[in-house]
Amino acid sequence: MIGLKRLVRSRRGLLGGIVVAVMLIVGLLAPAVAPYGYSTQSLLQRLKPPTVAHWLGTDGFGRDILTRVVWGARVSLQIGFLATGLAILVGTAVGGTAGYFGAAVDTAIMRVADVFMSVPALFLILVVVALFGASLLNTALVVGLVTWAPVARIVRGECLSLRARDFVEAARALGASHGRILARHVLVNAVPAIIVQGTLLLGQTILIESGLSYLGLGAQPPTPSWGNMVVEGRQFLGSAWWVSTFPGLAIFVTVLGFNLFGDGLRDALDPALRAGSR
Amino acid sequence: MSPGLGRYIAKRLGFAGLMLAGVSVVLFTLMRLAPGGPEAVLVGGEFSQEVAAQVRERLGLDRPVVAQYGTWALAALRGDLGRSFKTGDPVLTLILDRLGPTLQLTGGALVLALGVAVPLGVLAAVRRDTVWDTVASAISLFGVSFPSFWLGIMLILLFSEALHLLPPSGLSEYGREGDLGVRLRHAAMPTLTLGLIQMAAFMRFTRSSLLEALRQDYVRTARAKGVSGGRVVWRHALRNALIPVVTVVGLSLPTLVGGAVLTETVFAWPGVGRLAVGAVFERDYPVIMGVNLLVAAVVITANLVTDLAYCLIDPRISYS
Amino acid sequence: MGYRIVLAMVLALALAAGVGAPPEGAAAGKDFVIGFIGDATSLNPVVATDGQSYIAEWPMFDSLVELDDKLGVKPLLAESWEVSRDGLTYTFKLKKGVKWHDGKPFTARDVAFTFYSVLDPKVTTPHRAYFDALVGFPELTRKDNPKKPDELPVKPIEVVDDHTVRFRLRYAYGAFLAVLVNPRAGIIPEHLLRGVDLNTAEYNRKPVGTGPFRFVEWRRGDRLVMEAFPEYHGGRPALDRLIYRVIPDTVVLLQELRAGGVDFIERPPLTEVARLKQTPGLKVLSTDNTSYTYFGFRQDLAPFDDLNVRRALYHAIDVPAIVREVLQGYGAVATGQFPPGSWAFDPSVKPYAYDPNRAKALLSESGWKPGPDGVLAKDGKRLSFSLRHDQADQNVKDTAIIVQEFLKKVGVEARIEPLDWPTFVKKLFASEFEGIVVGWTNFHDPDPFAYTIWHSSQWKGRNFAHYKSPRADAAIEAARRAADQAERKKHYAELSKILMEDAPYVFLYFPQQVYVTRQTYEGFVPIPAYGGIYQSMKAVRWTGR
Repeated sequence: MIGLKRLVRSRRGLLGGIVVAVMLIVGLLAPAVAPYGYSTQSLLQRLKPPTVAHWLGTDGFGRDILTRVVWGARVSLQIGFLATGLAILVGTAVGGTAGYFGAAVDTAIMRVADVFMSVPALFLILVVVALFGASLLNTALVVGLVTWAPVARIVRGECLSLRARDFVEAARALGASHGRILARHVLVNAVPAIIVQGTLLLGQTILIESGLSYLGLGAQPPTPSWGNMVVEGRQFLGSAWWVSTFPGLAIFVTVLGFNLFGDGLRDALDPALRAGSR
Repeated sequence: MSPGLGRYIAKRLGFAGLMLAGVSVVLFTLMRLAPGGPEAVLVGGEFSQEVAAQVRERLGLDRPVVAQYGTWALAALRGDLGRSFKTGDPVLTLILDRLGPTLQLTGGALVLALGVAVPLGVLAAVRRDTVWDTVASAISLFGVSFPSFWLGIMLILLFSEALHLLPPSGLSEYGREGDLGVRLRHAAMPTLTLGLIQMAAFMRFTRSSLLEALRQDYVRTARAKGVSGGRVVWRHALRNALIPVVTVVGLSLPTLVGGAVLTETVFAWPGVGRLAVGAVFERDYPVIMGVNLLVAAVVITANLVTDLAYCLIDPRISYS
Repeated sequence: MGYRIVLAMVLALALAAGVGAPPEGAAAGKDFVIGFIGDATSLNPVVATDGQSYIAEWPMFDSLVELDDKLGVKPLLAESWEVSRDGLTYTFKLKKGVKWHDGKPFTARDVAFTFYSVLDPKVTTPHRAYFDALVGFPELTRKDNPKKPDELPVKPIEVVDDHTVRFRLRYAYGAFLAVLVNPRAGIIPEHLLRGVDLNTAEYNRKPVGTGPFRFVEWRRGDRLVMEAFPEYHGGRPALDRLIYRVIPDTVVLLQELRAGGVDFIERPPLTEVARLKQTPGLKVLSTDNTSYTYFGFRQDLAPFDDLNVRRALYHAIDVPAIVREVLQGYGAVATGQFPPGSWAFDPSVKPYAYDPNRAKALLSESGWKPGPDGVLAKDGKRLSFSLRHDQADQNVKDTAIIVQEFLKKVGVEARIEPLDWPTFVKKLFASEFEGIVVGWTNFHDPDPFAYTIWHSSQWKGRNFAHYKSPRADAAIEAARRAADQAERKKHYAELSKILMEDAPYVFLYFPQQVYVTRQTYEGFVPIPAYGGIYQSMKAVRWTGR
């Protein structure tokens, strides 16, 4: 729990943590917190500026923007967690295998990981989502399947450094199976680094989703994601700035929060990483 | 060049070829599995099953997928990437036409990002844990926390609508393509938008790398010998600190090229990114294949070059 | 240290930009720049298939006749024409002294070549079906072993002399003159294209026509440049150059218009129009269109096979509110397929009133009772269906969301399923859908689409909603065979009435076409057909300095 203390002491990390926590709570409680239904329209109330009834104004369909920003937290974070979870799952499995077995297996697997690191993620995501249809699930799946490589690298690195350590040798001598050793000893030690990477990836995913929304391939309406709210609202920038500004701010604050939190976590969880490479 | 290095390069090149082949198979399969198809786009609003069938036949899409891939691959090996389904232009020509603007944009963004990030990183490292450190981090984090298309539109509203300083979009003006001033004005906002994405990574890396270097023995020795603080940083530490930054630059290429997809769309920049977006929406299979392979090839090559550069800068690193 | 560098860069940028310099309308004057969000596919009118290509090739090609502002036809390359009494022979006298952009003379042989190319089954063209009435159409267009024109006993297109051409029809076809207009029927040069594969010809990217502007340069996805053709038979156009720029983001496009990089845009965001109207130097043009946006469904599937349900869906949607609020008045409530700009429009046909209570009553009458989750149900089945649409079309996307919400209020659940265009079109024509929202652009003459969308013989084609009505079939056929417009109009009015009674679709609205340009440009003729305004580019002139 030294890490937690450090995190609290690092003001930036704390700030990020608070932002992330608030967004998580808002997203989880969206149905209870949101003042209106996220798809409830009133064409007579369209593009109204912020008032007491609608704190953040209304959009082009007369929907309450605050409600949609709140629901957007849920949707954007859902995509983020799904994609990140998948990336971590795949990355851990692949990186663990490579690092644990080493030698030719390692070389082959890590070369493939290199390719995934070197092909621009957005290109691949764009191709798959455009061809197979834009949906929350598709987006999350593809993002997850494209961004696992950094996680794999981390896990592999941890494995390589831990492999030779005594307690792993001991476990092996005691007859533990490969899988068991991987899971129980090696991976547990890689968790901090994975969490840091996952936090940063969460922020990334929200940005990727908004980028896809810009190309018309993000979450599809009437589902509110911050990305598609910004994109649809931008046509009103001249006459109704609030439509896209608030979801835009939500993205900015949340991604910033994840980045700060990730940095803070990194500093807190692993002092050796503080001055070292990412 | 040592024989070891030669073998290493040969191995890497061989692997690159294998990877490209793999990417092409995966892409080809994906496209053929996808619902929809180019004929619906090509026939347009006056769609009929009959004309659609005719188009499929003309494009060879009625043949077995394996045969289609074989034809494509054989031609590709000869350097012929086929012709665009949409306009009938040779894919290679389409790509080459748009390579210039993309290189200009990504190159400019890279230079800009380094130009801002390295000094900021140095500042943050030297004045560690001061307000300077915080400010530098804040600036760099700003860029990665903003959806880039949104930033681009905001820049247009600011510099174009409000201040009347810069043209909103395009590479240049018709008839004034040779005018460097015009081109610079057009390039300013897209370069900034794309450059900002990279700044944070570069800045953080410079900072941590320099911090580490400053802790090394030789720096301490230099300090002990009375070399001034600024000199230590610039002459001794930074030089060594920048070596890993080279790697980061290589690693950042995918992000840059990926970011160009959005930046080029916002600023109507006639580059490869927009070509890719258009091709994907129009199911222009040969162009999708061509662009993605080209990008993969460029990035793989760039990685190889970075690794080699790394190895030349730092003779301690050897490859096997 | 860092901020100094940033400052230096800002300064450098500012210097490069020439601080404070007002936008120097680079395009001002006799260069007219039009901004689009997409690019053309082909510049050859015979093989062009999409709206953007039509608009791009239009200024470079002339057709035999062109549209007037009532969607009738007037002479262009044809000076005059005669129609035989039985309506089966059309003889055109061609204008003399017309030149191709390469200087060669235009003759009747080019006309015959153009339309024989359209009929050639090896050529991929969406226009072939419009010429179904020509003599020998079945033989010439047969997929296997088509006949050559010379092998026919009577030639459908006969070159009488250099300046006379004659078309022969199998049956009287009231829309025949209408299918000869731009942008679908531009004449292409025989001397450059004989023996060339039209599908892949280099010509499609570097065209030569007889139109008011000639081709200069086309940078794919970026810019198409045309210049005035000095020897144009209708007199040199007033503009020097016509430049099409591709700017994919509508918001950026709007900024370009304000900044002076673009002089003309189409389809501005409608909520911005009021502001644009007040912007000094800009003006807004609007005109009727041949488009309509509808909420359709499969007629032969439950629950849509029940007339009560169809009518209830109609009553459930407040279309006037959509037109007023979302379209900002740039549109009209649809009463069938023919928009106000068409001569087939009949003002006596009334739309369904917005009446959610009536909708509920109709549904209840058919046995749909409120279920536990608020959605109506009957025999354990919920009144719920998918609503598919093209995800790239903002107009349709917005409409689908609004339709969904209105239906919810009467207990009907529509599950929106956006699809990308290629997939959507395929599913559409394979009739793989329950509900759909579509923005459809009609042909400027009522026949081609009235026939293919509503006639019961077309279930495999555009009648993908599977509508079937003997009365409608009869009206369509009668209108098709009549040569006289007044008589055709009578039959189409009948069709409109039948359609409103049967409610095979919920016809939502007819959107108008809206354009924004600079006040210094004049001469636009807004023709109420798709992209009709582009026909008048030859008449546009700059009135500035």
